[in-house]
Amino acid sequence: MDEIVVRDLCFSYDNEHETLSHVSFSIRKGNYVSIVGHNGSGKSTLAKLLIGLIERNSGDIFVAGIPLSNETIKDVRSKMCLVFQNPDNQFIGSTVEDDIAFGLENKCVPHEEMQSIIETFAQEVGMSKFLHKEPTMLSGGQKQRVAIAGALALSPEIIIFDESTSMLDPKGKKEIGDLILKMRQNKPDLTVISITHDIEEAFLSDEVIVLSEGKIVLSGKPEMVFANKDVLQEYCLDIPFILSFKKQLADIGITISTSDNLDEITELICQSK
Amino acid sequence: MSIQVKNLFYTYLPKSPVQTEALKDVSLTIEEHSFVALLGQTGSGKSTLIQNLNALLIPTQGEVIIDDFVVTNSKRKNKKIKQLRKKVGLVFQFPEYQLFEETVEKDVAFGAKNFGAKNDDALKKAHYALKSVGIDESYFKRSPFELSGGEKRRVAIAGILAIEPDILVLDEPTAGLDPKGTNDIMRLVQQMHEDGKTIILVTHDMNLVMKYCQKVYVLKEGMLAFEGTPSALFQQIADDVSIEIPPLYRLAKKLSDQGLPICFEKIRKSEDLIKQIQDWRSNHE
Repeated sequence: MDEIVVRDLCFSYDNEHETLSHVSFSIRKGNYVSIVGHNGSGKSTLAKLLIGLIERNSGDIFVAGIPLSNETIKDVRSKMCLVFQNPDNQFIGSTVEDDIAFGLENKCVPHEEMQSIIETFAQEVGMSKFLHKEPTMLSGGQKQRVAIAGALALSPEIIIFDESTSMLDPKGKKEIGDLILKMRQNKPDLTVISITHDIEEAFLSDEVIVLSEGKIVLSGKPEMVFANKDVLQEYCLDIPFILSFKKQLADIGITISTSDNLDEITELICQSK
Repeated sequence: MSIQVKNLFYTYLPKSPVQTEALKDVSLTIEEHSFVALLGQTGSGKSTLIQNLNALLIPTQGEVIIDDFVVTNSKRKNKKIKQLRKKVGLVFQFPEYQLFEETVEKDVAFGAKNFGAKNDDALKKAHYALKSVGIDESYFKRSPFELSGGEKRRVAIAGILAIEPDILVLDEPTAGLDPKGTNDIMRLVQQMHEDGKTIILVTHDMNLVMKYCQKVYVLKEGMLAFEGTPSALFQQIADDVSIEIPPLYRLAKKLSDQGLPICFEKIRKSEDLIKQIQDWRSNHE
């Protein structure tokens, strides 16, 4: 079943230059989709349109079968959550507990239910011990985990990460990456959309959409999308190390068709003499 | 112009209940014209150290010696501080947030003027710096706020270059940029290095460290935990999650474990490893 359908979507900030131009795609329920593209390709604008933060010029957006419009925007928003890039800009509460509570309060969840929801999701993201800590006491990765807990507490069907790991150090990145995997195991119906520059991270998703100058230029399974180095380079993108190295090996006569695993590649190189 | 840091201690808010020892007995030497990386987790003291390198912070104890400038915590005022700050250019993280002038050229000339250059001279320096970061003349009179993220960052770096520093310290210059933006900035930094500047790169991206840096310094909890080449570092820290070993190095290591004669010091790019694999195969034919 398609969770998100976008048809012929157009958007311009200034009515002159189109930030998004005739974008169409669909995302299946429970899929993990990465949207990649150069700076200014329209990735973040797309996320803002999906959640109705800005209004499209033309085209259709359907979320869980509901057409997005002024009348349905509340329903649509109740189905999705957005986690932003900068961990400091989205920490609203004065403690971890308050921060997770913020969205619940907005949703008018009764106070007596709130505490157990907060505890459940703080645990889900591994922040149970930090409930009474202030944001200044937390690392970037921890703050992003709190933001994710706040999002999950609203029981969304779709979660969108807008470059949520790009300001984190490798430890923070790994924390968030592991959490996404765990989330998908616990909630196989959750649709995950990740807007990212991290090609290695995109390589792990079910599907990749490549945007360039407001248009979709490639989409499909990661191994298909990343198969074409030259095309991607035209769009200012790299390909994952493994694929690029396999290509270089092929040039010197070592063909490795299937494997994407360093150990197997090592073995095949050793056997190639 | 080499940099010597001798037994450097730095304490924030000393003698207060919240005093924090950010640097503890750090000693290191950075050679003239070298290209080095400064690594460490968030909170390890990297930012404190780089601010000590151009006297934005003054050591609590110990000294920073750059050429004939000695910065210590002496009662006498360090008179030459302004000259030192001109020698060591600091590019902060997300420098584009600090753009403020009406036009690109005015913004870039601002620092040079602050260091005493006359208007015309500062503009000349600004134009030269802008060209060297690949911003062409058609941009000079535009507002810096109309530029793309990557362009803004290059303009911000040009602002430091216009001061004509000998040593350039860059704090995460590629954070948030796409792969092309990252390559553009790193090529630019490499060019400045080839032009004779000493480069100190603060980064989390080990692929960049492997590709560009001759030496790395790792800070941990305010102390120097490692000093050596990138490959020596990767060899040593196999399990440290705060440093992400590049897949290229991991593959080289696996091949070496299987008995291939791998020279780690010579691997910076994929091509280097491919060449070693090729050599190994031809020796077996």
